[in-house]
Amino acid sequence: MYASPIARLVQQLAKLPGIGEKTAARLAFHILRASAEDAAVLAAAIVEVRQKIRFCSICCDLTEADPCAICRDQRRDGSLCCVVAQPQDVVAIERAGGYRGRYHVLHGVLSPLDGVGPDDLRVPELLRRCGDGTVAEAILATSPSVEGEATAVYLAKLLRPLGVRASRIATGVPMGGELEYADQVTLARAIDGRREM
Amino acid sequence: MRIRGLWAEGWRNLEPLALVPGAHLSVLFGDNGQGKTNVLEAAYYLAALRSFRTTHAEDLIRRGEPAGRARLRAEVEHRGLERRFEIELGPTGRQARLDGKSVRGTAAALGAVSVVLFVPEDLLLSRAAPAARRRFLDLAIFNVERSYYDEASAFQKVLRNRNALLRQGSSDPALLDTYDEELARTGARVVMRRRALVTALEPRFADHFRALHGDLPVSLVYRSDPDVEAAADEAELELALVRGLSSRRAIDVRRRFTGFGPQVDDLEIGFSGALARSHASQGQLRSLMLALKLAELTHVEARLGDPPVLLLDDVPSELDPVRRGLLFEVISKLDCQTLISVTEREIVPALSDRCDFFVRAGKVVAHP
Ligand SMILES: Nc1ncnc2c1ncn2[C@@H]1O[C@H](COP(=O)(O)OP(=O)(O)OP(=O)(O)O)[C@@H](O)[C@H]1O
Ligand SMILES: [Mg+2]
Ligand SMILES: [Zn+2]
Repeated sequence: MYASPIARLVQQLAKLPGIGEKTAARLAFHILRASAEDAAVLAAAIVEVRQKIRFCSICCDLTEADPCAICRDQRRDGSLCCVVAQPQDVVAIERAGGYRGRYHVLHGVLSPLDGVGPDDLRVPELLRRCGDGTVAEAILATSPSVEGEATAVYLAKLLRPLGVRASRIATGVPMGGELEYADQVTLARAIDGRREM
Repeated sequence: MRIRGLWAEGWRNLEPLALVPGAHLSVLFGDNGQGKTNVLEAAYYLAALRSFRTTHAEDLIRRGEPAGRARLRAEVEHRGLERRFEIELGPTGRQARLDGKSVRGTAAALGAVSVVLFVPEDLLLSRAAPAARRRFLDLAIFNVERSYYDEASAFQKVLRNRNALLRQGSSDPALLDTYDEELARTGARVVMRRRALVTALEPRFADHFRALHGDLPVSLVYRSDPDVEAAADEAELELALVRGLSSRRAIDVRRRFTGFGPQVDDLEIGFSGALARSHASQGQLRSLMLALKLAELTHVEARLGDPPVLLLDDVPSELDPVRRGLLFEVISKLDCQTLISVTEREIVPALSDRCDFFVRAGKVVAHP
């Protein structure tokens, strides 16, 4: 057993996704070997991110100021709304460039197997937003995995009666692939080549 | 395809294995429980990324192995091209490498080595549960259609999700509609693939059976719900599946699982105008299943343009001399590299370049 402050740190790190006990221990010892300043900066960054970051009240993306920069930007086309699973997907699409509409972040995808239903996602917020007539087209940009497809099909069903056109990004994204990892050209082409659902 | 060399470390009860099989027939012989099947299992795992005996990776790793790791490697030659394929199994999961380069995902790793496995249970397939016959079809498709692995997995995942939704008693009709549509879309693809395989197998199956039993009519039919069977192409199939799912929704909701779709389909084996499993004799059933397995083998050969490696676990001893004769006749005609496990090596005919290996307590040694 490690001395208890180390054990505590290992235990906390091991809660992070993709980090097992072994990796957690490696990270903990790395932090121990780092300078006291580095450790303090890391700790402060963790505290700060929790204090300063909130959900945008319009698109549900993570933001420091509410509404977020994209929702505030008047040059962006508010009639286009790109619906993505994760904040990372917004970053990936912005990096690819070319898209001038706005976003909506669901914070997950439908997965009844894991107990994730529509109410566990930012679906009610999306419907509220799409109900007021500003959004003409929702581009459903969840990944082409089983969960991503089901989420897109489900949202299309709810959006159509609201008079919102639902389109699906083209399948340039590899099967089962995550948007986050798709290359920029593929992503830009996937949005251009979207099809009506 | 030829396996030039097969290596295993930390695999089951095997001592570090370095097997150089013959170009044609290799016979692994030895007493029960010595490790013969474990060798075939290693070759099969390299091809299918799964075992035919267990779904738990821990079973495959040698008990008491200090690093808790198993390594497999095959050097194969496929249409003049030599490749090296390696798999490592351990506490952190599975890594596959082709020619030293890491391969991500099961679908991409399938097919580096191609084998057809024949085990005694295959001879009982006609009387097994329908699930075993669907599995036979699916595994036979993976062998020639790598993308089918992802397609079949997607279908299974949608099905599990729909069942989860039914178990949770969801009352959101849009959500159930979504999973009906997704199940129909992925299911239509599964049915198309299975139908195509059955169509390709049937004439081969009839030919092989004729060679054993003369001109008795036999048939292979992929059985679905009648409305689904009437659908001719993928779009029609999708439609028929959606209709079937929605018309039986109330039943599914009550029973809390999905009772309609490709997951309840079956491969129907017909014999003299009736169902083989209720009309054919024991011996005829064995011949039918042997013919079906040979049909799979020749189909894979035709699709890959090169015979796969045939793994026969104990099968020769399960066949009478006439059927055994046909099996070896097909093998030598196809010129397919074959690895056989038997307890009595006399049972295997002395075909050209036969190589024997004696297996005892996990050690495999060439037997002159
Ligand atoms: N993970 C493992 N670690 C060590 N030994 C194992 C492991 N798994 C199986 N064994 C051993 O391997 C042996 C079985 O080997 P195998 O099934 O290859 O036998 P076989 O030679 O094919 O016998 P038979 O002729 O009866 O089919 C058994 O003795 C079993 O205890
Ligand atoms: Mg055996
Ligand atoms: Zn916003």
